Amino acid sequence: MSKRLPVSISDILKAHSRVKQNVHHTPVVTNSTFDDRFGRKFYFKCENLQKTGSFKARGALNAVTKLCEEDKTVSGVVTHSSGNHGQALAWAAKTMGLKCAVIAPNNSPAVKLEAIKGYGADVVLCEPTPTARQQTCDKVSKERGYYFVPPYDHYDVIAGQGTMAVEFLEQVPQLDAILVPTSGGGMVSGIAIAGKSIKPDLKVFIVEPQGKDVERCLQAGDRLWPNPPRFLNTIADGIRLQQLGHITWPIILELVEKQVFSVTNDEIIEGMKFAFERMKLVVEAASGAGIAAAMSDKMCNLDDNIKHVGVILCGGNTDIHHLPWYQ
Amino acid sequence: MTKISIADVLQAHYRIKPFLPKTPVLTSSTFDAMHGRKFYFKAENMQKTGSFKVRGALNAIIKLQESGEPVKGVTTHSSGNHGQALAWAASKCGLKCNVITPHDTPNIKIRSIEGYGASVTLCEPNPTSREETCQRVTMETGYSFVPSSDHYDIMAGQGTIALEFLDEVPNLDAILIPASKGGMAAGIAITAKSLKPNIKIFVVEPKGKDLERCLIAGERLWPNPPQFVDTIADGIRIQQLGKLTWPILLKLAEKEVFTADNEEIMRGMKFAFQRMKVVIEGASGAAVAAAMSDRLRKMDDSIKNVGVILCGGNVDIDQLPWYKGK
Repeated sequence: MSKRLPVSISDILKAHSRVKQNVHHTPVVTNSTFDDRFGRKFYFKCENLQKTGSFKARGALNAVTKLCEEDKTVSGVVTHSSGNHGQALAWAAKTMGLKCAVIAPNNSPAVKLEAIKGYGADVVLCEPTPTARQQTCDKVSKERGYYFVPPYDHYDVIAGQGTMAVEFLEQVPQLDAILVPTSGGGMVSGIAIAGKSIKPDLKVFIVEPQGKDVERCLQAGDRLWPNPPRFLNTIADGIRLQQLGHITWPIILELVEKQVFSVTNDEIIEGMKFAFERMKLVVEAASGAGIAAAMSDKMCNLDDNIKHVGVILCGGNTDIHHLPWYQ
Repeated sequence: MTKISIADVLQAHYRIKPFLPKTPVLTSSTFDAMHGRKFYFKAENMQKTGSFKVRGALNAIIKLQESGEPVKGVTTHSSGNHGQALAWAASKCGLKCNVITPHDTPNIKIRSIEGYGASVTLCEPNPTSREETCQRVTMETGYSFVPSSDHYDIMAGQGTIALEFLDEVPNLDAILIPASKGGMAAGIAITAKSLKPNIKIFVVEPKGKDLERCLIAGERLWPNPPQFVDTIADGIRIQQLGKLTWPILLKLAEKEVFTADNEEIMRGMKFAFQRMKVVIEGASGAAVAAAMSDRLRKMDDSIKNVGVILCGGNVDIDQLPWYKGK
């Protein structure tokens, strides 16, 4: 693995010791019906059962803990988030005794905003565009002297998310591949670095909502997305960003498979419904995307030597009063 | 006097173990903080076929096959979960299966029963029609009848829940158990009280079952013919406890019964969905509601560790109860 990568397996192992006490070692579930239907062995990592209801707790806690180690004067942290990172940061800040402000789009699910406030953080609403998120965030950071912890483009956040792969490979050493729903790319970067350090042949695949177009970018080796950055039109509110991050991009380019799983809203819903009905798990749409990728023709047509496939159920923070299959 | 003992439950455990992995025990620090005790949720919603019923069904079928008499197939009448469980267990044991179920059973339950290779016969939604239709089909097919609840082999199977639960959480002080005919509550009561005589067994009922009055009077005060209770928890609609489960629960269960109405059941379900990220059906929502209740809050401080049986997760997600009337 390239030494030029800004996050190493050693950073991820250190992150693991930092967060271990406070984050859940989440279970891996299997489903024989699913395996029979789709012809491989699938392993679902239940980050929907993680503290704050998504994997984001790992990256947030690692970043905040490391911040407190390095700067004894820090008073608070701030971020912009569609919800899950905001909730995770609010929780991490509370765990470490810091203040927290979260900038969230004004169309975020109410349940996510309430959860953020529930951890004692301040919510500041903004227009639902990536640019508005960043600008409002910069303003609040300056005004309150809070340290900015971004949702994905940060080494300590990436390292935190990577701890998921350390656990997953301990729980299922025979994994050949992992499917990772992707927005900014913090989780897939962390998983790729950790996963491929432990098991170089491991294949890490991105799962994206239709319209993200990552496969074309990876094959060209070029950030082909238009500017300014946009949100995709997808029911998966956790993976709406079209562009990968700037720090995550080179990591992904180097380590992640060029084939990308692209899923539609209907496929996402089918994936979610499988989790609800057959696995009795509440998952949000981004996780439904991961399951949909596992159910896809593309997965079916993958090489037979990919026998054991991990799927990250990245979160469970869905509004149960507005489930997407109800009109 | 009782014809079932801990030995029967241990034997049941030995029979079903090769087929059924242990179910998880879930905790929620949020719930504990909100309700002032330590709660442990036994996730039978994640059991094979989505409810605890498979334990009793498997035990009964395997025991039938051990008896040496030829068994062609099995029949039963069921609100859904036992039917599904029996269908699955029959297919695992190489037997045919016919399930009689009310015509208003959620579609997902009917489809699942058929998905395991069993046949479904529909009946009117009342206990008498269930039994009469089932007797007819049993005679016509020559299959063996496996009841959903009021049977010692079924109770012994359900009792294995307590074996696992107390193995994982040995310091449980009480267990909250939803009850319809009471097969699970009786099985758990026999098992738990054998292992830990001071443990308190609390039954959880839907509003209208009136069990507390019966237990206090020591008498089956329910009207006849047997009725269904009007509740959104379709798995615990039977008003009367079974004839065999009644004396067991009269002896071993606490006289205080936790009653949940539809609002409370929904609140319990929503907590599980929203905070614990697990899908549970109405009957389990009743158990969570009992855990959230003022009645429990006011109970003695010596009840520190409370078990809650999340008995099943077979709810129709296209018709979740909080969407009705929208």
